[in-house]
Amino acid sequence: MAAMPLSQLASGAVARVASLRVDKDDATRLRAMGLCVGRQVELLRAGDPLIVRISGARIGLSARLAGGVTVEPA
Amino acid sequence: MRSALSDTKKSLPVLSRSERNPVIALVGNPNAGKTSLYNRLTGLRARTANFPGTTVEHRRGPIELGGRSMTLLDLPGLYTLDAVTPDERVAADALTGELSGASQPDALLIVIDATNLERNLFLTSQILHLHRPTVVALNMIDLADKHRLEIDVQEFRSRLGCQVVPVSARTGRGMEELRDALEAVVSQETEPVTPDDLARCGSCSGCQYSARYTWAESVTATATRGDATAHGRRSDAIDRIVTHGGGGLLCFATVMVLTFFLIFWAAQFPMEWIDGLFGLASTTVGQWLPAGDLNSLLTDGLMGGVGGVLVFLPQIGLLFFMLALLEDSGYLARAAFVMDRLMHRVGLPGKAFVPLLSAHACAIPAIMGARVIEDRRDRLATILVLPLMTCSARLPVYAMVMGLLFPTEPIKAALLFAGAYALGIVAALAMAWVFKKTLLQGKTEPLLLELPNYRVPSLRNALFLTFDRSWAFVKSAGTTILVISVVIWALATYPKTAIEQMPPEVQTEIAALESSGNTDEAEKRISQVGLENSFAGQIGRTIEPVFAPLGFDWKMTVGVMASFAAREVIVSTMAVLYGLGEEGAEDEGLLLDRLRRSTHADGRPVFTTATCLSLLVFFVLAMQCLPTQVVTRRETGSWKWPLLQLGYMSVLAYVAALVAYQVASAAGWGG
Repeated sequence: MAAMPLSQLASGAVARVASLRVDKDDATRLRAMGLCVGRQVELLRAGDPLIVRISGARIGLSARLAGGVTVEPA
Repeated sequence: MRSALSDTKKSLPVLSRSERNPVIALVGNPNAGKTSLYNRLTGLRARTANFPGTTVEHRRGPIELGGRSMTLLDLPGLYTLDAVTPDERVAADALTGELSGASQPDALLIVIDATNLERNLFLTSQILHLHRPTVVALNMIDLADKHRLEIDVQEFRSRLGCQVVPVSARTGRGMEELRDALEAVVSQETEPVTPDDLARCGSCSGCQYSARYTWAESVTATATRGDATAHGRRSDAIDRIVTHGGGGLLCFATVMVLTFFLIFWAAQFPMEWIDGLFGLASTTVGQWLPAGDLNSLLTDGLMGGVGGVLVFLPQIGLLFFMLALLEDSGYLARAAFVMDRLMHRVGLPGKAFVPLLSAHACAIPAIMGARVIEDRRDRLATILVLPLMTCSARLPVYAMVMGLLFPTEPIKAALLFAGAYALGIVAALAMAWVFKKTLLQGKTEPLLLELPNYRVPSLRNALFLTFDRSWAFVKSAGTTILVISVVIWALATYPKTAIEQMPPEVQTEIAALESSGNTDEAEKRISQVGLENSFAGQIGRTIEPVFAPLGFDWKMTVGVMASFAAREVIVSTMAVLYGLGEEGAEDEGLLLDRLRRSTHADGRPVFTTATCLSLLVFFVLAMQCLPTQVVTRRETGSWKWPLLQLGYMSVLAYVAALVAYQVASAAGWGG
């Protein structure tokens, strides 16, 4: 698996956040929810919006936002 | 520091009384059980207030610790101290002492969810860096036990460098220990001893977030044993159905239909009691006081006006209650999740959907519920369009129009009823889109929210919240409703017309009625003429030309004016104007009959199909509710927004009713 946007991850896949390419406020919101570089995410449900598990918590986010999060193999 | 505090004291009476007591701030992630713990510690003695100069609410309540009176301050839930939303910003500033007009709390009580440790420990790590006397309440310990998640509290204490107390706000377990721990840190001013690994998080050059999450992960790993995700697995399973495209929408529709059914069904009983109570009080006072202006002011003006609004309080309260239960159960987050994509098409976030739906019962709880929308522009756009939804106060007006148009055709009446609802919804969504494209321009906040584990909601908390919110409504709207009731009463009562001043033919008519023993009818005729000649009547006649293009005659114009503060008033106003007395509104058949027979001066009937449609469209879209405006003012912090709301809705209602009347007349429905 190469680096790809979080929005294209398949259900059940686990990956690591490689970079955030979103505006400043969204980046702060994403980080506050645990989506920051180096952290592991598990995709619970693909689609728009999608559900991920980060740091043991379940987070719902829009595919547009997830498109700005690049992930790489864990 | 102290002198600055005494300066602000004078201007901020809200804060002054308790300022000498030590203040403990309660802080934590949303969904960590902060509210339950707050209610446990303070009981029902809390007061809700806004932070000075903001519309952000917090609660403060007295708490007795070791014989000392202290104040517990409940801050809005937050995920990080680097806040983005106004609520979070205020909470973060209050914690760090940067909020103007409030001193830094003397101690902090961090609430963390024992079943969601890693997530909660991130904020904890930031707060520990403030080096304030701190106690950590490890909440929901009963759930952790149930799922065989063992937590080594001793290890926790050493990793966090502060006091950690396992508690369950739900069952009350650990409350004594928590109180003791709080008392100890406040009296000894114990600052946390930051362990080295945690201290490094703040200073490392890379992403401090990443470092903090790594720390949170490591603390969770060493201090707990068992499966931390066990509790979440059932929620995952429920989510597979509830958040699934079609199934999710179906679930949502079911939950909402049940909720509304319950609200409308259960509210009717207390509504009847309130109505009866005000009726009884009004009759009693009416008999007890001599007939005259004071009697009329008290019974018609005050009790009529206040009772007319309070009668909706059960619906408002029930809506608060149901929303509190749904929120606490974790379902509301899913509703926002499911509706997000659809709502984005009109430029609103998914979180706007539940308020929009709630507004079908009453706009007031819906506007207060719009707080869940973090982005200011999204929230304002939602608040502006909420009153367009068909609330229950519109139903008497709709019923009157349906009765005029289709007295014997229930199917057509039902279709038009549905049409009126649809018009409100379409208008609200369209206006939201317009506002987001113009005045409140900006991208719609993309969805990002935690979907907490499902749990059994707490009745106690829901009741508390219902009481709190309902009281806030009564308090903020009460004075305005009183004043407006009196003003409208005065306009409809003065100047008075003595019988001698009435036209001779009316005098003869009244005399004839009285001599035949029909005093009831005579009185109705007197009040009819009185209203015609009152200020309200005069105003109605003066501005009649304004509403004439809508097909309204002067009586309807008076009705529109009189219902400015509360739309349902139009039915009773019409009853008086048509000589039926106020009680005439109860006898629907009689009123409809009178309306149907009424004619313009030249003999044309007033209530043609075109006029009825125009009246209906007008009432679907017009603001006509002062309490809503007061609540909008309260929630937006400025009169600018309720005025805009009134302005655009009036224009919209006028233009749409004009189009409806002219088109219907052209189609031949005007005769």
